[in-house]
Amino acid sequence: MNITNNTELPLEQTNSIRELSPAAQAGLEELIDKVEPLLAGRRLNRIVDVMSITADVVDMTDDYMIEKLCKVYEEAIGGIWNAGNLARMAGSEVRNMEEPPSTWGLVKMARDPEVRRGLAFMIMMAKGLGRQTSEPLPEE
Amino acid sequence: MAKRILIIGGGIGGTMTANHLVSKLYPEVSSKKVEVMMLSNSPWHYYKPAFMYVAFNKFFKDELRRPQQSLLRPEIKFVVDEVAEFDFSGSRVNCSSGQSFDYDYLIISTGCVPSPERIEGLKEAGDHFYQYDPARNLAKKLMTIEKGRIFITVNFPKMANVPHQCGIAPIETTLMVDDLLRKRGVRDKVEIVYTYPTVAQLLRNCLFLQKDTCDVLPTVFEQRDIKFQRSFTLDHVDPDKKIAVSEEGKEEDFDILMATPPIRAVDAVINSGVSKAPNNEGWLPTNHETMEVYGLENVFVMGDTVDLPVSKAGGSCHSQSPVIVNNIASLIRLGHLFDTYDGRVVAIAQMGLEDGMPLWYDYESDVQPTPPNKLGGLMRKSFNRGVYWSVARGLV
Ligand SMILES: Cc1cc2nc3c(=O)[nH]c(=O)nc-3n(C[C@H](O)[C@H](O)[C@H](O)COP(=O)(O)OP(=O)(O)OC[C@H]3O[C@@H](n4cnc5c(N)ncnc54)[C@H](O)[C@@H]3O)c2cc1C
Repeated sequence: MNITNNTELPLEQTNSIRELSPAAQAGLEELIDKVEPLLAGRRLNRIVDVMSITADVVDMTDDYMIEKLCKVYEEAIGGIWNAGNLARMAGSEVRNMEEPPSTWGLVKMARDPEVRRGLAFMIMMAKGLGRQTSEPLPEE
Repeated sequence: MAKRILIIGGGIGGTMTANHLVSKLYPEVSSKKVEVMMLSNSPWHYYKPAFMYVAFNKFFKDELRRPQQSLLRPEIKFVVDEVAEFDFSGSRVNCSSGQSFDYDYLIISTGCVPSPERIEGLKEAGDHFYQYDPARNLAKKLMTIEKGRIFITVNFPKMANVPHQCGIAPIETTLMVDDLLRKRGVRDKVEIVYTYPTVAQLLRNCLFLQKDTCDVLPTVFEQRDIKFQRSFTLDHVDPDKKIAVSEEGKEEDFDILMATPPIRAVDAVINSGVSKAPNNEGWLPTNHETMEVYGLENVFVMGDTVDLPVSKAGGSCHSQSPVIVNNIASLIRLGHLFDTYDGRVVAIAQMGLEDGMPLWYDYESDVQPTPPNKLGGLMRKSFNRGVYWSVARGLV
């Protein structure tokens, strides 16, 4: 397809095409060759649909929606990050132990206030789990 | 004995750097050859840019802060205390509680302090949005003004070529005020006047601290019927008459004076005596490439405390932090520095209540303003509400 030879084009269009550099013209022709089968097969319509849906999503999104989605994002990412960090740190501490701690050694470790706080955290999690499962479901 | 990297300040610069240090130096940290420690004078981490939204009733206090510890990796030793004195010759900091901490490497990220009291009458009669309580006061006024004049001024540090905090904030908030008053249906009865001082870093008689943006601003303001004036350098304010007087000799009345106030470094930094900044501003002399403090060994500085010409912004910290991390890691591992900061600042400007404009610049190139749009606005709002906390955790 050779657009530059088409003298039937409206004035503004011919002007704008004539202003293109030869390299840009060649690029445009290449692009049109590429797009032509997509147009013929109505496949480009899907791209326009995607753009239209994207525009709808952008316009429909309001501050309240962003607030809720971002909270989920932060809690999910923060939770995974924290769990990963704790596991990595604990793994490294355990790997650095020359021998596994004896039972008495474990009891001694539990004297550390940070360890006790951590254990209390686990116990409080257990309490939450217990609360969530405390109500028996009657048969219907 | 483990080498200690001590970070002062649990703001955005200190937090992302502490987390990044642990991941960069993980072999040394996990084998206890290196300890990363943070000292901050608050157990809370504030997302400071949200103070701007507080002035528009868009954020509650608990939404813009998180416990500092929840943002730090568990390998980091976090202590809440205030550094009262830097003893650089002894490689030690002394705290107001009486505790002292030695360091092998020190990173100072203590931010800056808005100081309206440095201009006569400004504290009494002016408003700003750079801290939580002043932003709440401003919100009350913006939500109730029915008619009159909102006069906007911007004050730069006296040190040559050092900007005020977050360069784009005065424009962002001017456009937000315009949107808010339109929403409230009182815009036709309230005049908005945006002004800029004669000297703005290297520019003279402009409306912004970079020329390309300055050139597009008149059109942006005219479209919204916002008045603008160049060369208004605030000298003093008469709180009784509600008049702002400029160094250039102009007198302007106002109902709300929304001013970007003078800023300074925190007391401990000023009192360290290392700064060469005039007017007791306290900016630390910073090697613009390595981020070391000139004249001190193994001491780095970042964020709002530097004396560099780049924006005092989280978007600067984001580019400075990896350079400091790489330089400390290479000092520990190779005995020399190896990374340089190119002045890069990245941000998404809030252009009015809905639209956003991503922007970046560095020592070599200025911001290229692009048309703000709603997609940019969504990016900025998502950053405010969620992505920021991932940035602080060193994930982005
Ligand atoms: C209203 C507003 C809007 C902004 N908008 C943007 C924006 O859109 N984009 C952007 O990139 N940036 C923005 N900024 C700028 C950004 O918030 C700051 O540049 C950034 O927070 C600086 O980081 P910092 O680590 O240097 O200091 P800060 O984040 O201020 O942290 C300083 C920390 O040091 C602690 N501290 C202070 N003194 C001591 C002491 N003596 N001992 C121990 N601890 C101490 C403080 O408690 C605090 O935790 C905005 C700022 C404001 C106020």
